Amino acid sequence: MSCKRVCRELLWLARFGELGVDSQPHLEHLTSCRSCRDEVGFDRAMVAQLRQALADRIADVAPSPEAWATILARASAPEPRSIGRVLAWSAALGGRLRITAIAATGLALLLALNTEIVPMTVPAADDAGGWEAFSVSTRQVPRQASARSPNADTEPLAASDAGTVTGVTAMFQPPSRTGGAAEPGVTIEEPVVNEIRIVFPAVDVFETAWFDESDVDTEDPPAEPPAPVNGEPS
Amino acid sequence: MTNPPGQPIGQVPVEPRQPDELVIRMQSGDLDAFEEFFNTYQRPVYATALAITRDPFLAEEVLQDCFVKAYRVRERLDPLRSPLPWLQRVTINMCYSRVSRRKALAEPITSLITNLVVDLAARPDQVVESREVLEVLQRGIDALPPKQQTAIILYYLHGYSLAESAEIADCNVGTMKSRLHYALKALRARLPIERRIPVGAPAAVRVQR
Repeated sequence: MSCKRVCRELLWLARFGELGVDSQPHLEHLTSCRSCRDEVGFDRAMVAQLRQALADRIADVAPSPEAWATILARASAPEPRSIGRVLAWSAALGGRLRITAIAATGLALLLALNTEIVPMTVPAADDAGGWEAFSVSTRQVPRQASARSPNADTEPLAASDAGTVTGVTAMFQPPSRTGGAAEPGVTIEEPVVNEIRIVFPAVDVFETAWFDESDVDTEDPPAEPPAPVNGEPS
Repeated sequence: MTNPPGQPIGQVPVEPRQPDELVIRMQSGDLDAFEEFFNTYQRPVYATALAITRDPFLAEEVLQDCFVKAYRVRERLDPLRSPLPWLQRVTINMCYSRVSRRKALAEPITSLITNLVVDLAARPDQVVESREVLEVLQRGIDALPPKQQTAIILYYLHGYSLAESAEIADCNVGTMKSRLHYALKALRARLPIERRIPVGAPAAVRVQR
């Protein structure tokens, strides 16, 4: 065993008062090694000085005589638990509300910056293909056709329009005078419809296959994995 | 509150004992029992607080908070176990939460006072040297991480056994030994360097050397 290791073990044993019968080799080494004796001696002296330093910290100081009276008064008083908890809860809630408000403002700003209002002329409501004509009129506003929607009625745009602008278009039909659907034979003069377009940067359109339930076979169990070939790790 | 060096101050037993009548009476709302409880345990609690904070006012504040808390949660105290480990643990936690808040403000004042004390204590060589070592150790203790600081306060100041110290610090005995070992190692590392440096030198110079 090296001197350094013996010294380290000796320090450990001496510090925690664990020198015993098993420590005989260490003690024999200690009698013959001056360096280790110095190390252990220095350690013991340092511990004695450490105790003195710690004792100095608390020397000649005691709690004031009023300490007990203060403790008794505080202990007897009702615990200000509810006020403290309400304040802490309010502070936490305020912080969350601030974060939510900032996020909402940011989102609203984003939408506002990407939104434009376009006045449009709407065809007569008594037209049999009113909605169709209305939709056709929106061709002046280029937008991208949705590749996912299977409904042809909502797909009035030509393919050439795709890719120019990508976004969501919301159209507001003029209100009917009767409060319901447009009455046949009634012409609305100077109808103005606002279209709100939310424009995003153009992105690639993915051709996604429309979900077809017939493709899913729910009765057959999933196919088992192929059996491993001999010698091949599974 | 003077304590001879080497003599432990933790005279209140930590080991489990007979059901604590004091705690039982206190749990029933007996204020006399609470006063007796305070008189029994105030010394070790205050010593721990003072050893960590080195500020008598702050230590007393911690003492008050600790006993007020003990009274408020008296129902949860186990009469079969000594309340001292719990009291010490609460004290240690309160001390470190306060010390961390006040450290930034208190540090310049503390170093100023330390330098003044060193200058005033200039006497014959031996005394000065001993004083220097103690000051170095004090600074070394302050610089230790809280867990190591707690370990040396419990083991060397209070004189608790390793098992008792470990119970208070809420760790196992091996961990407590390890903390003590590293604390002493850190203090040893400071001693030879700082003793070569003149005491009056500014703190910044000492660090550079």
